[in-house]
Amino acid sequence: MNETFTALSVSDLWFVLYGALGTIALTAVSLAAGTVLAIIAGVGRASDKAYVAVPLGVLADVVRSVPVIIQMILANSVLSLSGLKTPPFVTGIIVLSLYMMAYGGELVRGGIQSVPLPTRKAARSLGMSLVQDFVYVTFPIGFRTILPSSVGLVGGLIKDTSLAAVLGYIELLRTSQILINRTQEPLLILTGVGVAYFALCFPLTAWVDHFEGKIRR
Amino acid sequence: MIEVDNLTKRFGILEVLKGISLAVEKGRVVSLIGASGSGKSTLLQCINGLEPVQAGSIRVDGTQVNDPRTDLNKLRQKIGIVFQQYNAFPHLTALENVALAPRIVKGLPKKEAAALAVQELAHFGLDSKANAYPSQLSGGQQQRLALARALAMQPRYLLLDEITSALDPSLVQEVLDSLRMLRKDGMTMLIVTHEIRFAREISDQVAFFASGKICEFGPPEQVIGKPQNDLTKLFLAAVK
Repeated sequence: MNETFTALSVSDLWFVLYGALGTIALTAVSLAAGTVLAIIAGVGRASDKAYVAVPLGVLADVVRSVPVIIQMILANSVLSLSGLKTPPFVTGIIVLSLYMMAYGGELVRGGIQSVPLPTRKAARSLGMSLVQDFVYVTFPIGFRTILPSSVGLVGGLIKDTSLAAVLGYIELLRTSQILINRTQEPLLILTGVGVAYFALCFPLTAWVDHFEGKIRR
Repeated sequence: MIEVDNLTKRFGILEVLKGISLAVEKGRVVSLIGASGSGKSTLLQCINGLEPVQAGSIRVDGTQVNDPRTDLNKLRQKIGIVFQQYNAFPHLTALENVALAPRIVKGLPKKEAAALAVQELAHFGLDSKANAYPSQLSGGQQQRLALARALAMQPRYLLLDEITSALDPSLVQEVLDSLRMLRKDGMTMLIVTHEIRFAREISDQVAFFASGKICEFGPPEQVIGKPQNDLTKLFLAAVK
């Protein structure tokens, strides 16, 4: 082996763990912010007011058509050109939250529209306000409908956090690239990182399967 | 008292209600009969403020429904409505279906709301189904659940929109029996129905609807027994 390369060591495991924490942190914050945005966007998209629904639709179309990696680079450039020194973590959150808003918003809209109108009218006819109808009736029913696709979306988000590597953000994939450059052990490291991604996504799908089993009677 | 005065309702260019006037006094049962699409169900939804109207007025106990200043959420607590399609909340048990609105709309403590729900379910013979989900209930049971849910808000008026139309013939009677019971309790009801015999039996007054107008109105012995209007005669001959 060439001497510029050094073998894997125990401390590299800590480095990978640090990268995994980066992935988790970026996922968690983007998921939280993105979910809130997705619910707002979904309610707006389901609205019968065109001046609310149409601009949100355009935003969703653009965000969904442009590859996330391009959005990352563009967002980074725009933010630095405008003089904002946003750390890669923040830029990543902005792009991924918008991504969640666009995809999640369409999901939420579908969920809302899957609830039969008579069911919603029944809620309103009992004196519930629009908000109470949404919180206690429409959202819980719609949520069950979109649950499987939501899992797909969150799984996609976890994997797409790897695109923040282009911003210089240290996450799982970036750590693996750094280690591969140093050790020239791509097979081993990528397998390890793949297992790490699986370990992040699997509990989510397992929990949802369990939850679905509970609610589908 | 429900007072509908010269009411006009349009869906786009389609005029569904063409100057309807109707009064339902407290304690009375009024049935609306007529062909599908004649505007009966739309009228019920307008009275509840679920559909906006274009002209005329609707007053419930003196409060104008079609006034933007009216708090519809509050008004609706007085007016229960049950629809043709069972619309139980599928994610809640029968008990939770009934207890939800008293709890979140009226602010009843959870225990009281549950006790009220148990009482209403028992009233409609569903005491053994309290913990069942709507998908585990028959159509007739789901409609009785919808009645229990509406009644739990202790409304002064009950609007019933073809509540037996989607039921198996064998399940119709149990729901009609529930309505007979409500009549005995003195509930004011406005019933849209295709069960002509039932309408004759339970109603104080019957209104015959055709293309958005009331063609004939009066006691059932008259409107159903001895109809004067040609359209009424034609309709009754067709459904007999």
